Amino acid sequence: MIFFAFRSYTTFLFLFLTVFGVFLALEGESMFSVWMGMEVSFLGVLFLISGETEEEVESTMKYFIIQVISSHLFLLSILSIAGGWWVLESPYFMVVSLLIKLGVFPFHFWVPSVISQMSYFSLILISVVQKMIPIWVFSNLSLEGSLLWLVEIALILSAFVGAVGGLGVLHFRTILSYSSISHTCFMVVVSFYSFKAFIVYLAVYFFLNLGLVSSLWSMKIYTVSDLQKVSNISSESVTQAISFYGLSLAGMPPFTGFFLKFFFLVLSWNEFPLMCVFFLMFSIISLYYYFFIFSALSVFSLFGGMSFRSKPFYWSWTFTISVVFNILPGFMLFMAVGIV
Amino acid sequence: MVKGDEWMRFLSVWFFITPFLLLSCYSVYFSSMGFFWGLCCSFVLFILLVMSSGMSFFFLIPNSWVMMDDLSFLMEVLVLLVFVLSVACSVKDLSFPLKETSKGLDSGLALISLPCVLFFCVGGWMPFYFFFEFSLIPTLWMILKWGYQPERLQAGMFLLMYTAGASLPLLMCLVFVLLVVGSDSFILMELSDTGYWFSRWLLVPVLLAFFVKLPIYGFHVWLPKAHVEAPLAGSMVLAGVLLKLGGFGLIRVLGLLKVILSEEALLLCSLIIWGGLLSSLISATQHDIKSIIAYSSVSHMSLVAVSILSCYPLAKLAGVCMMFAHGVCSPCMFALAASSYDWSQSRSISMNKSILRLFPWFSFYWFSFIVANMSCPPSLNFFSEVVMFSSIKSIGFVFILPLGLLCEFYLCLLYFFMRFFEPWWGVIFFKIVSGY
Repeated sequence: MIFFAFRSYTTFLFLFLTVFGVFLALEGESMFSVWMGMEVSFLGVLFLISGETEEEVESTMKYFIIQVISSHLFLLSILSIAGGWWVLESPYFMVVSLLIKLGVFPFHFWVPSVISQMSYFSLILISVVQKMIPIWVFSNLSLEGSLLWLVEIALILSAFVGAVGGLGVLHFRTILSYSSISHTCFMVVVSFYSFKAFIVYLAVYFFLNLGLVSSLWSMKIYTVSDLQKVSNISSESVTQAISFYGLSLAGMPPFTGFFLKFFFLVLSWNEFPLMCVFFLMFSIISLYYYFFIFSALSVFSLFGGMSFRSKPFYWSWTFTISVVFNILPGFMLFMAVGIV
Repeated sequence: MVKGDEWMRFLSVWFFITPFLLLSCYSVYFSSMGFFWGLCCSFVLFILLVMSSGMSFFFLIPNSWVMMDDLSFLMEVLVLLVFVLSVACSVKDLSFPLKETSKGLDSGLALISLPCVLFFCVGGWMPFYFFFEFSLIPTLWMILKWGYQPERLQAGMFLLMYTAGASLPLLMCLVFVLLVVGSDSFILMELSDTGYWFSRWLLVPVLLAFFVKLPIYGFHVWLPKAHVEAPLAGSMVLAGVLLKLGGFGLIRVLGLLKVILSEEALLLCSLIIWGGLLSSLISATQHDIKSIIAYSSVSHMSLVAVSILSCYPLAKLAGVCMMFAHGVCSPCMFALAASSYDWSQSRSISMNKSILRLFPWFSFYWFSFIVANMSCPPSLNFFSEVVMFSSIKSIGFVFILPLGLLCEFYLCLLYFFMRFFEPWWGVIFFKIVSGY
């Protein structure tokens, strides 16, 4: 419960600023308010992610530069759509600036290096909250012709990056950054169907990510070598409970994460069949690093976590949250896909 | 239907029933559940009677989410049987080293069997896929948690990647069918003529998922690894039930998605039979008992796949009977292998030699199950294999050659049996040890 880094009382202020910025963008009447909301929310997030350590400040700087460039490009595109020069190319400017903001190929290079140095709380903010406004703009653009072709190619290739980049990585935050790249691609395609569908996807993804990240943060596990710190029985039970999130994010039934894949497939098979094929092929590849998360948390803990010599099970809040987020909604959400 | 055909079916099924009774007599002592076995026998008798009498329109559809026909009843009986067998045979895992530390093995087993039970009675494609994949995660959990060797991590990864990777294309095709037809229920597909305009290419990813699950030779790599590294109960449920998910799915898909594959069927059948032959040859070269049984599972399932793909009703019946017989025989062989492992602490044949001298009753059980697996009369395997051979030769007469060579795997099992029971080596060893 003390998960969101209670470093100072200003955390609440900046969280409010972040959410208010999103509200401004979604409810404003002109494109300027979208841009303004983007900046306000970015300001709030900036204060929240710049933590105490040097690595966090460094990744905040990188994030700042990238986002400022893309915001300026976005502003330029708004102005030129509204009636300036370069009227023919201005939708391209807008799309490219949104791609930079989201971390989609070929502008994905900042995502692993930024996220892998940040605290877990910042990870949630960047991979969930900061996706809302650019994808809101995406879902309102009527993409067609070569613009749609550009976005499709970018998404397919970034799904490839998200799948292949996480293989063989030992730091959990880097794995989660590649996972966020590939989930972003899914989210963009879902938003082409409707914004409400995207909110549903985002909500489920947010809860899964939140559960995983808060559990990892409370156990202070950042890499595989931190798993050796798991030295007492109750912690072993906790890590085994956390391991479900790995396979859930991969999209395996019966976990909740399967709803994400199935929802995406049902909504976008009619319009983008080729993208569905490619995304599913690449999520087979990404299953490898999700299995790594699963096996690292359940097998690699000290004192033979997964052998029959393990001690009996100890209950903890983490276990309850893991079951409630992963296993309970699994079948129910799967059956409820037809509602949206 | 021709009268002679019906007589042929009726007689052949009566031939099936008697040997099954004889086979089950061995197993009564093995599992000490006499009444339960009697119940299962009578149920299976009823099923086979129903299937043989031509009442293939026997469907039970209480609501739109459940559909049971004779095949699903048979498979439910099989799941129940294998589950009870597994629990009974894994006594040593349940109380080693202390009762508290092995908590969860029985619930793990129940968690594998639960989606299998649900899988065989669903009425729509989406729950079908959900339970098809659901059974994977508890199997993975059992292999990782209760397996004996450190190689089980790689085995679990192979299992997950192969099976989940092949079934995501299946999900795509099922969603395509859902969006085209408007519903995923089996009844609607049976009653409407939706399949005739599906492209032939739809069937490739769909078949792939079941071929990996069955498994067929090219995609079989996960099976020996998973069987060898799984605990006893996990191996039994894997061999007995989880492979049959693939065969059951194949039957459902070919029946409900009415896609015509007459030209590709020949190519597929020849590849599958050749794979079965290769797998039986590989099985003859193994020195790990569980590996031998695993590779022979692959060749049995290849025969099942070809007989189902041939789309002859008698061949389908024979394939179903082979699935059932293999699902009973293979777990028993794994249990025997685990007992040998308990005694000699090794899974290799050479360390388990000459048990004929030491454990005569035990080697009698080994003999009976090896011989049944080899399809020797009067076992159920024999009759299903005979009928399968005669149906497969009707597809293309050239298949006689590899099918005959598949008897090779009879020979390999005989080889295993011979090496296992060489009594004269045991005599020499005994003489050296006792200092004569």
